[in-house]
Amino acid sequence: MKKQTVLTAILSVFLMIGISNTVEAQFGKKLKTATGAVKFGKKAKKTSNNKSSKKSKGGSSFSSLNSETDELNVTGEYFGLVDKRPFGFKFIKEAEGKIVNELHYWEKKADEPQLKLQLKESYFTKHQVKLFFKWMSASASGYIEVIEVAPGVLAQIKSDRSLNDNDKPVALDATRTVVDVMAKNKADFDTWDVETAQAKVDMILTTLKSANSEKVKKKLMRFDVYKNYKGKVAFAKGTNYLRNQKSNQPTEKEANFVTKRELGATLAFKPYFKQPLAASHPGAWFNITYEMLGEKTDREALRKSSTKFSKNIPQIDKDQEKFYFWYPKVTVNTSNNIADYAFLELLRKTQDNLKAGQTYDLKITVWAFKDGENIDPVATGTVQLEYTPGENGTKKLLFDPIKGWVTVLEDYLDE
Amino acid sequence: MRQIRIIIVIFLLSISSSVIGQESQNRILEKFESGKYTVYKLNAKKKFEKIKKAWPLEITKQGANVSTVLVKRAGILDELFEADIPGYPAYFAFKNFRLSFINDYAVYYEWNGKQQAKTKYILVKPGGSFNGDLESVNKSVVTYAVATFKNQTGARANVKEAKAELAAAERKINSIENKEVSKIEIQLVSKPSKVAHFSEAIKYGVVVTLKNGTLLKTPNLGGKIPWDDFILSHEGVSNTIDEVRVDENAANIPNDLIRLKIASKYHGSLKASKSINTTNDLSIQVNQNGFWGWERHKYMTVFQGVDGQHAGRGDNLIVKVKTVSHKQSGVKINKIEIYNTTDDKLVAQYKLLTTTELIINAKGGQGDNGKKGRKSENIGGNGGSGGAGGNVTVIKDPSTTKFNITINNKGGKGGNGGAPYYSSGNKGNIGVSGDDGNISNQVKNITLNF
Repeated sequence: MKKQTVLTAILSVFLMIGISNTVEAQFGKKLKTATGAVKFGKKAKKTSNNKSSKKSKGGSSFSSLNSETDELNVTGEYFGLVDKRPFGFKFIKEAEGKIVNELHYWEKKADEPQLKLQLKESYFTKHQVKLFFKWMSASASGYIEVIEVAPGVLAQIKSDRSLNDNDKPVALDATRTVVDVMAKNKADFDTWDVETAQAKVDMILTTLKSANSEKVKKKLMRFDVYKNYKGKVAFAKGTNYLRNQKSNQPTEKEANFVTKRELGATLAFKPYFKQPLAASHPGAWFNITYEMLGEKTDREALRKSSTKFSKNIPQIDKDQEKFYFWYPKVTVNTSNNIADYAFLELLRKTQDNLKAGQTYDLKITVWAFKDGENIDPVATGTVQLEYTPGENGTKKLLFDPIKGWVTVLEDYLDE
Repeated sequence: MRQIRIIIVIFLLSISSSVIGQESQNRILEKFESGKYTVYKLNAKKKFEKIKKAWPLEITKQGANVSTVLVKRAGILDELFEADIPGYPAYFAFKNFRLSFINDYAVYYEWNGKQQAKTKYILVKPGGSFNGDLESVNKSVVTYAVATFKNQTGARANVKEAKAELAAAERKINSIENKEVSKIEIQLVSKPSKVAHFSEAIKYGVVVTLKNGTLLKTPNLGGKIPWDDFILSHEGVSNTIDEVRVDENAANIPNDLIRLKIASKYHGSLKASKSINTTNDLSIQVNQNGFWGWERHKYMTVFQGVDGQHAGRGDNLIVKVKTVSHKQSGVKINKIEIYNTTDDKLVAQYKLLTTTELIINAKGGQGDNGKKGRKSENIGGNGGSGGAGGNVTVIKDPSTTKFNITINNKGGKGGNGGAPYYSSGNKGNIGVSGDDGNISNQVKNITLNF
């Protein structure tokens, strides 16, 4: 029994050592995967460990790179903050008569680099951001990225996205986490720890995102629907008329929009924003209010009013980085019996004043909402709702004794 | 007696401490100054760990209020945090991060819509101390922030009031209220070539000429006049700003033209209108098909076994048509009324050129496919029956000699049979197709009230 306990303890210790090695040797691990040569990786690790110990005696494996210059000024010997071994980086602008813009990486001395990362050219030419990347496999763990956070300081980054395009780094809205910092001068680690590098990376990404947002907006302005409806809410008879297949390509046709609709019938709507909410109101999320016949209902206010509304009115905390809702909303949808409870509450409140044959203006406002307050409207629209006459018109849709929208809500609230 | 006194003292102390906890950042920051703050960050084990370098903080005050806090992260990255509500701040915000000062330190955290805080750093003032854990810090931030939000009512009202004042001032500048106006006009931004039921929107704006010759315009024409300066009373189209769409119901377009009508809210005599003849030349498709088998559960209670559900039949319709002259252009048009006798509901009233096609779909739905068979049976589920097509009766007035109508009222196909449980078994039977609907034509005098 005692033997077994001792054995378990020993095994646990080995396991822990194994885990800590894995964490500390991020780049090396990727490299092993990249080359597919585990033996080579082990050899490289041993070699680099030896070199590291030599280094501590004053030697250095890649110091010869420090005398080389390049256009981006990144070539040189680097030391890791987490993985403390020395590494070599060399920027190659041109090879075999072609512009390649590659960052070559060595962790052991060899003629061929152990890794070749690609410069994202447009980030550099337009924003002077030096971002290098490499897809070693299609999964998120197979992605390596390096961003220069200060002269002679590189942040090594991992992401949460899997491969979309081999020739592109992960999208700007992906999560980028700094896992290590590499510097030519070890003294830079006093300033550049992982957290600080992360903050700098976040800042760089904000710049890139902001520029990208401008670019996206420029592209969106090619679409009449965005050009004509930014800051407004468009309405249609179904969500299918407002959907589109690709992001930032609003191909929906204005001809399918409506400005008048039968009260109680399916009504879909989609707001288009002048700026993404994350840019115009950082830290805010969306709220929607409905106004008709002098009554107003507010999704967030209703959420706070009862558990029933709280359960049935989810917060709209997506799409903050988009120029429109990816999925259109509905007031009510008769084909799948889905409704916005805030709109149903508006119908319940106004039911006594609704008359057959009359038409009512419904104003929908999408708000930037933060800390319990509607801060600013980000899109508004008005649609006319007609109370169609007859027993099978709006009356049935709203007040059918079993399925009417108002009946269903009243029954639910009376439970 | 002494115990009661102690309890009262503890109670009063707890009240006073909770009040202090709900003080605005302006009050709390009276005890803070700019300087180098000791920073604790969360490590991988979710414990706070002191980092080497202190971060400089610059606190900017405007009178008694703190307007901004500049955090020089690691001494090199500037992050400018601004007060959420200047008169009574609960936090200072920089992008998605917030900074709230509590006790001897500032908590640097993220906040989400579910009112949860995720602390990233603790910034301790010079001479201050910190020894909390993540959970208690997060909790204290939430408690403080939520309580302070409640106390912000007055300050928030002030902000709202200031915003409203700004908006009112801007409105006053741009509104035609109290301005001497000589005329108002409707200006079309776009007019589709076809002005008919379901045609594209007609976009318009309003141009106001002041007596001094100045031109003012609504926002869609590049101006700033608020739309609510005008009363709209459009005819034959939706009564909406910016754009209108021709009414789907011909009964609402009695004179075969649409009319945009506006009036100034502040100048009784100032009105403008613009009339556009309808062209009635857009083909219309009316769908009154039966539901498909897989949708049956939406219409009635179903008990699902291995057999597919039966589809619904197309609705029975009566289509009445009478030819009249367009009241403006004089061309022949058909007045059409479609009545659904299955639902006992008027479906539509249209006016179309005699050559413009009307497509009526009253097809039966398609039966649901049979499901995979049971283990105990050597056959898959049978397909559901297709729905029958609806019967369509077309009643033509003697005046109608030309009516371009297409009626699709075939019965729906039966669903496919389901696979057997074992491959040695047989597929289920294909469902029976629905019967085609009848089409009958009648000619008789009819009256259409539109």
